[in-house]
Amino acid sequence: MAAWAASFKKDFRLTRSFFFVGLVMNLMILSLTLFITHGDNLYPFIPLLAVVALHVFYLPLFLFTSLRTEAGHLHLWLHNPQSAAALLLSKILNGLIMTIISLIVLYAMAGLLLISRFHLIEPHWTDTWMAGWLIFVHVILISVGIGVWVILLWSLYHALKYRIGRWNWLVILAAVILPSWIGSLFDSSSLYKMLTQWGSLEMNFPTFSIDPIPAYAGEYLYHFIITVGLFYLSAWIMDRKAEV
Amino acid sequence: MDEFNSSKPIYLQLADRINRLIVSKELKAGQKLQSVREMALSYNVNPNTIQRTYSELEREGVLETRRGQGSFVTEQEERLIQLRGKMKEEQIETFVQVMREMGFSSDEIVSGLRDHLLKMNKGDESVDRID
Amino acid sequence: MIELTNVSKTYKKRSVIANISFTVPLGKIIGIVGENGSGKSTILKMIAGLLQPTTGTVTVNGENAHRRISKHVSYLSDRDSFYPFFTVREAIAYQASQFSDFNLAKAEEIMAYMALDPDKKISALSKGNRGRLKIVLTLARNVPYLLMDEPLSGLDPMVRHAIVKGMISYLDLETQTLIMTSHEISEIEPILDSFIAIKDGALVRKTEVEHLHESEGLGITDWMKKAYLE
Repeated sequence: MAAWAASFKKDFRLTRSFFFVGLVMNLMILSLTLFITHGDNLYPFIPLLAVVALHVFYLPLFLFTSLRTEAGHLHLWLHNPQSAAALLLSKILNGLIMTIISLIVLYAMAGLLLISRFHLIEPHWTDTWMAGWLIFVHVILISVGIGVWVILLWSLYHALKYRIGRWNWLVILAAVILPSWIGSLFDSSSLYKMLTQWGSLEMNFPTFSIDPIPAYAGEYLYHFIITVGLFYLSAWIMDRKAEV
Repeated sequence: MDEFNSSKPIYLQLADRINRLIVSKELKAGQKLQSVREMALSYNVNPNTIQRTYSELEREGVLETRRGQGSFVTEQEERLIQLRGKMKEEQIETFVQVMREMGFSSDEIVSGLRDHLLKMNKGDESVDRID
Repeated sequence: MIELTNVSKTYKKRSVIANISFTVPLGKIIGIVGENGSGKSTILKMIAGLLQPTTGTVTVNGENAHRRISKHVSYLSDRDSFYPFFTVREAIAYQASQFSDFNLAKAEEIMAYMALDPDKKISALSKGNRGRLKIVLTLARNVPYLLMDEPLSGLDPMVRHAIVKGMISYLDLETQTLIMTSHEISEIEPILDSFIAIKDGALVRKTEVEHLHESEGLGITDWMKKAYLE
């Protein structure tokens, strides 16, 4: 545990500039928004919402940056008795904390902008509050889902880089395209529906003029299992096959 | 001092150096030698090599190893006298062999050696007188 | 024991190591010698589990060498081996946190012996001091096998001398083995038990250094001049 805690701290120092640059970008977007938009309307929330949505790429980008830094002296990171899962979790947790802080900052900015405009959304307040939470959670879930793919591709690359040369990139491309193609085929199959469409968590926003959004506990479980599976596959590749 | 000749095993060269120190009484009978690691550090060699040197000298009866205490020069007078004789013999043998290869006769070697020693002694005496 | 059995390594299509087998017991200092690009570093990385053999097996204490073999093996890379934001002290503390066999007292001792300033940032260290720090981090582990890739390369004679002395002082040959690659053969020869000579990825010779002195009256460099030209 002490070993992991030390890795966690080291990973923070390795990537803290990524974090601070992110925060500065948030502030810049807020100032830009305030500079461009005027008047008593909801337009300032559009860029903020867009930035929140873009946070699905925060963790993947973070992981890519952190892993790329380690790749400069890979023996330093991998010559270590901790399991690859532990080493990777240290990075993922760092990235998640940074994602959450960055999102909280954005939400706080939105809150500040909202105070003077509250009357505009008062009738939709409950739904807005709910939607805000759901967006927050789903941005994080999706970012973890993409982040695990970054880790898998990175570990595949380092397991294959000395073996297949310039075909390497094609293999990695295939490693993305093939499973996602098979995945999307599977997603539209009736087997998938049978497996995942249980435990309805339909999301309903009566004051917004949109249809209820269907969602199932089974789907969440399915994606959770896939994410954990891909994570352990990556860790196994790193422990057994990756080369420095 | 630290350089070794690569035509001969280092452990034997070290044994030779220790033998010389014993014959010249820089290492006295019964005196404790440096530990293996200390000796390795002062000669910049592998501690295993020093260990081998010590074992070799022990086998020859020049050193005695006391468990837990280290290696000591033997106190057996007879063995030390023997060593002294052997070292002298070896040096003379080398010297004579070189002289022979150059074609000097036995008489030439003996008279040359006598002259050289006489000259050296005189030099020593003149130093003594100045003092 | 470290055991390589019929090990070959191919990078893409280029063969780097060709069918090498040897074993290394505990309690030895072994040098791997050979020209640039002859595969010396590759051998060390395979023992450290940081490269996988294309064919054959590499085991350490009977265990296949994967990256987590690092619990039995301390590896010094020929490249820079630091997170540059650490100070010397932080780098040592980090190493101690990662390896339970790391001996902090020994590290402090070696650090003092190498005259390293613990409060200096690694990014501000000279090449010589970085070389010294690598030795501290690798040598202070109480681990059976130490692997050092070119520990003396690019350092001035004073530093090289200090490092060789450090190896003699701090290596415990009752429980440890050191395998190193080096071009500074004359400097490491007196502290080697054996050497492994590699040429174009193949093993040319593995023998005791003293045996070479005794049977052929040659040092490693002179022997290599003969053997590599043939």
